[in-house]
This record gives sequence, C-alpha cells and structure tokens, in this order.
Amino acid sequence: MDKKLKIIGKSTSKLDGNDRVSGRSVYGHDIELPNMLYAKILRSKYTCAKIKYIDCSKALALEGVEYILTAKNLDVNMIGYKRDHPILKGETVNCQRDEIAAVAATSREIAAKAVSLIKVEYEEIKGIYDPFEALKTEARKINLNGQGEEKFGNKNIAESFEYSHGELKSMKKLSKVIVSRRYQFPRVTHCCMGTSNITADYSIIDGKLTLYSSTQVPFLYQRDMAHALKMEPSKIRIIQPIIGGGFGSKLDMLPFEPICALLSIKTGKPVQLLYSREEEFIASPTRQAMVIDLTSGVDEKGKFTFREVQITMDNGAYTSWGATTPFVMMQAYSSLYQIAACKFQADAVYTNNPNAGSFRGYGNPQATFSIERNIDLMAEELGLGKDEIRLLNANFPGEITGQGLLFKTCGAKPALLKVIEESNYKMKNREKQSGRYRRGVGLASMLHVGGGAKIYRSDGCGTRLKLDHYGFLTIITGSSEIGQGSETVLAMIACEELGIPLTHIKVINSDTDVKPWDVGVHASRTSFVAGNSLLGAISIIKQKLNSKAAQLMGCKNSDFVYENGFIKACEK
Amino acid sequence: MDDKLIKISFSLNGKSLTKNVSPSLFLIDFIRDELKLKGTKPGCREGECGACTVLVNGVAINSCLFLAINIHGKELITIEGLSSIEKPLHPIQEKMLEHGAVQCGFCSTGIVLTTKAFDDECRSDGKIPSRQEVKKSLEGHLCRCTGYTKIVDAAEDYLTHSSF
Repeated sequence: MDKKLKIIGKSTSKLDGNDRVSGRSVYGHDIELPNMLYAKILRSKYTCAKIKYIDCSKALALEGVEYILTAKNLDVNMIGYKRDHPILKGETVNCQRDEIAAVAATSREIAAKAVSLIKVEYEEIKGIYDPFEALKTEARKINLNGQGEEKFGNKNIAESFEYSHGELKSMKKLSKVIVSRRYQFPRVTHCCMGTSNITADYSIIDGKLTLYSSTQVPFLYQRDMAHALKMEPSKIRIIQPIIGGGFGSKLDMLPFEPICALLSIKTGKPVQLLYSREEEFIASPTRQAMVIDLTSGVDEKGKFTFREVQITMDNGAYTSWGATTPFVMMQAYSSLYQIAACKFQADAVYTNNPNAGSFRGYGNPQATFSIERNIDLMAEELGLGKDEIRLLNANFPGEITGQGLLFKTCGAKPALLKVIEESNYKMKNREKQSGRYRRGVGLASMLHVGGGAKIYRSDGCGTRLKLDHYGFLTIITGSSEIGQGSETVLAMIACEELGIPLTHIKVINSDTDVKPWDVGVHASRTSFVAGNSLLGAISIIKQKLNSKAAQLMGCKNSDFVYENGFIKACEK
Repeated sequence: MDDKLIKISFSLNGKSLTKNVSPSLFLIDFIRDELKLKGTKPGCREGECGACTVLVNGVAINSCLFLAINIHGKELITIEGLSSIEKPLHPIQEKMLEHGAVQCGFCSTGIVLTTKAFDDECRSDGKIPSRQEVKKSLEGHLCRCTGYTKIVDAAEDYLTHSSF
C-alpha cells in the first residue's frame, strides 16, 4: 500500500479528551435522576455458611426505606458464564461477597443504616479455600449448581480445557534436559479508578428498563440481564455513561446489577447503586489465581521438544468468563516458540474464595511467565545462552504451529535480535552484582490474540453512518469507549477515507437502542473489527456520494477526491 | 438531619457564596451533592487516590478528607473553575491531551489541579522544577490507565516550558 496517509499514524489528540480532562464527562457516579433512590447491599458475614433466617423488619420500619430485596419470593434466573450464580443468596453463602439483601432508600445514609439493621442468623460451615483440597473426593460440593460431576468427573470442577499436539512420549525421549516447575499466581484486582456503579430506571407504565451501566459488553449484558430478570431483551436499554476504567472487570454482569434493576422494578423509581472503594475490593472480580505445573524439554542441540502443563485455577465460588482464560493460555503453551509436542490441561476449581473474573491479558501473563522461566532454567542446565536458545526456537514467517496457527507475518526473530543488541544483553548478562537491590536484564517473547477472539457466536460489529446537510459525519458504532481511545481511532479512519476534518466527525456509541450489534470491548478487537466495519460502511456511502456527485457535475462516475470536507473531481 | 447547620461564606471559582452546611459534611459531598459540581471525582474517599483534589486558598487538598465548614472565609477552586468562556481549557489540560495523559479520565481532573498548585508554588519561588520534583509533586495521585509516564511528561512539559 503506497497510499500516502494523512492522519493515520500521526499522533492525534483524544476526541473525547476535552470533556474528560475538564470534568465535563458524566460518569455513572455523576448521574442524578428525578425521584432517584439509593441502594445498598448487605453481604455475608461468613465465607461459608447456611442462612437460618433473615429478618428485615427493623430495617423496613426505618423512615425513608422503600424496598428490601431478599432471595425470598424472587422469580429470577441465575447469572454468570455457567449460570451457577444466584443473584441473592437465601439458603447458603459461599464467599465473602455473597449478597444477602439489598435496600432502596431515599438517601445513601438511610440505605446504609437500614442494611445495618437487617438481622441474619447463620450456621457457619468450614470453608474450602485451596483448590487442591476442593478436588479431593471427600471434599464437600461447594457450588450446589455446579455440574462438575456430570461434565468433568469432579463435583468441584467448574470448567475444564484440554489440548494436545504431537508425540509427547517420543519427544520426551529425545530431550536432553527436562525442567519441571510449579508457578503460583495470586489473585489481583483491576482496581479501576471509577468504582462499580449502575443506575436503573424502570418505567411501570410501559415496562421498559433503562440501565446506565459501566459495561464493556452492552449487548451481551442486555441478553444476560433479560435472562436473569425473565424479561424481553429488547425492553432493556443499556446506556453506557463514561466509564472509569474496565481492564476486563466489566466483561461479566455481576449480581449488583440485576439487584439494582429489580429494586427499580419493585419501586417504580430510578435506583442508583455505587460501590465504595472498600466494597470494590471485596466484591469486584479478580484475575484467576492459579497454580501452573509446567514441564518443558529441550534436546541436545537446544531445540525445544515438548511442553506439558497442568493448570489449577481458583475459580472462587461462582464461574465467570475468567474461567475461559485457558483458551488464550493454550495458544501460548502450544505456539510460543516452535514446539513439537504439547499437552495442556486446565481446570477451574470451585472454592469459597471470592469469584474471579476476566482481566486483560486473559491468562497470558501467567502462561508466558512460566514458559519463559522454564526456558531460562533449561538454557542454564544445557549451558546455552538464554538469548541463543530463544533465537534457535523463535517463531518464523510461514510457520504453522502445532495448534494450526499460520504466522503469515512474524517479527519474533528480528525483534529478539534487536532487543539483544540494543539492551547490550551479552554484556549485561555477565555482570555480577551483590547487595539487596540488583538490576538485571531478561528476555521474553509474547504471543497474544488481537483483533477479536470469537468467544461468542458473532465477533462482529455494526456501523451506521449519517452525513448531515452541513458536511458533518456521525459514526454510529456498536463498539464501546472505555478510555482506550476507540472513538478517536474510528474518527481518524473516517477522516482519512472521507477527507472530513476530525472537528466535523461525531461518534455515537453508548446506547443499545441506537447502536448496532457489537460483541464488546475485549481481545484487542475494537480498532480492527469496528474499524473494518466502519470501512465497509464508508465504501457504501462513497458509492452513493460518487454516483450523486457524478450526476450533479455531469461527469463520469469515478475518480473523485475527498479532501477537507469537499468532494472534488480529479484533475486530469 | 439532626445536625445544626453552620453558615459559611467562601469564594467558589471566583464568585462569593454563602451556604448553610452540616459540620459533619465532607467537602467532596458538599461539592458534588450540594453545589452539583461533578468534575470532582470520588475515587476512594480515604485520601489515597487524589481524584477528588480541589484547591483551597491555592493549596491542593483531598476534598474527601476535608470538612466543608473549613472553607469558610477561603477560596475554593474546583476543576470547573479552570474553564472560562474565553479559555475553555487551561494550558495544563492542553498539555495533558497533547501528551496522551488522559485515558479513562477519572484521575485527570485531580492531577490538573495539583499541577496548577505546584506551578503556582514554583512561580512564587521563581524556580523551574526537576523531573524528580515534578514526580514528587504528583505522588498523591493514582492512575490505572496510563502507567504515569505520560502524566509526568505532560506536567513536566508545562511546568518547565510555560512562560513566566
């Protein structure tokens, strides 16, 4: 492509940056609707217990309390990727964040006071906090809605993935050095600057539910919400306010969201639920904690022979999209560097720990760390340079990996060479240091999905374009903006193709009643998928404009130049 | 509701104002709920994140740790106070955008105000801060999107290149 680009590739100020930096942006925390109530959730006192009774009478008697929701008489479906998560817990609690009751009141203070007045009597049970304990046959079944027994042969397995390629046995025999290590990864939290929030507004007149939700996946969220509440999806309208960070945490719909919607349905008034920072740490998802047992082999020449990996993930009490991270991890184990044989097994195991969620990188940080560490250890044992062993096994253009990935282009080797040279790796690696603080240099490669992941039936995104009477373009896109800059990228693409200045381009992307389908913001897909959808729409609008312009100008239908907001006939 | 309200007079973004407030009311809630200025962000409500930073008599403070009654007789500047009809964006804000220091934006308004306070301090001392000093000036702010480098770049660019 030798076309000279006007704006793509040039540093461009964020389209929505002005509003964000000046405090004009409206985040979920800033929404105030007339007659709005405030919600607060009562969470479990124990990580594992039977609920004997819940007494809301004192709380209900408090002036300003409008409704208290408990599991009793609630006609809803379970939520979560495996539909194993009750919105409110009525009989047993399985983790610290479990929702027992929720109050809607006329002020935040009254809601908090009411929550403190709800009496719950528990019978504490000894919880299971180690996934290896949960896997033992004598262990209690943790999530009663789990289907591990039937599907995976163990009652406490929530989800399981396996994968293999190549002749593992013979490749093991060929190995000169075999390294086995266990890697343990703790749970970490996204810690978005804007805490979790939702404002629900149900109309008792027409039965429509409007949700101002910080979600990364508005259309999946609409579907999940409809399933949870037993509503028609199209009666639910999701409006995304400005979102104060996502990083994967907003890929799952969590109980607080249908809870808030239900409070609005029950009271007929708008209801807002905001997490405090403390609640955010207690009750928002985490990266899946995991234990990785990895065995890797290398032959006498330094060529990798095999990888065998068993991953045990701490799923927590309920299952989220985070349980599907092995999809991404198996790619790293099977295809990062040339690998003749690979065997991969990953189990997400129920425990009484906080339920995990998805987190950007989606398992890859854990996978890559273990792979690269084993490579270092093998190089040491084999007496080969850590740079040499990586160069020897680097992926290359045209390679078809055991998993069937075809690397049409691949810069692994040149990138490694550049890093080795520019970091002065050979010299630095020899420096011996002592003392408490030491500086070192390490090498690692990474292979990651991008441009979509096909985790749902459709990985698509729709675009609608509106060109107004005054030459302004409105891009109505399915994709969402969570701070990453998708509005700007899309506007730049349109500016490049249609020659309309950025100042004349608007992006509408926050309302499911208006925007076309999109699967969500994840898997580094928005620029590629939403961008290509936009390009498709642009080519249609260009055909229409070209034919109209040709008619008006009395020339042949071709060769117009789009520049500075004008369509010009090409000078021959 | 039981609190006896106390009358306070102060200047809000350059305009005089008198209000009756509860002695227990935090400044952040006064600003967001009563003055309806939503650019002051609630990130942690315990003085850790800096998102709710405002200027009181030119000093950057966490409005979540400050009682509203204590602005009596003082000058309060919120992020909205940096904009005027003639100049909608302060040069610090322009630098933040230029350097790509704004992503989700939740922390941005607080950072702008802290940089403004530090700039005023440097100007009155007649000094140009080092990068280390710029970093130090921003230590009370958390950001999850940018990795800080671009924020420090923007602040440094403004603090060391703006005309005296």
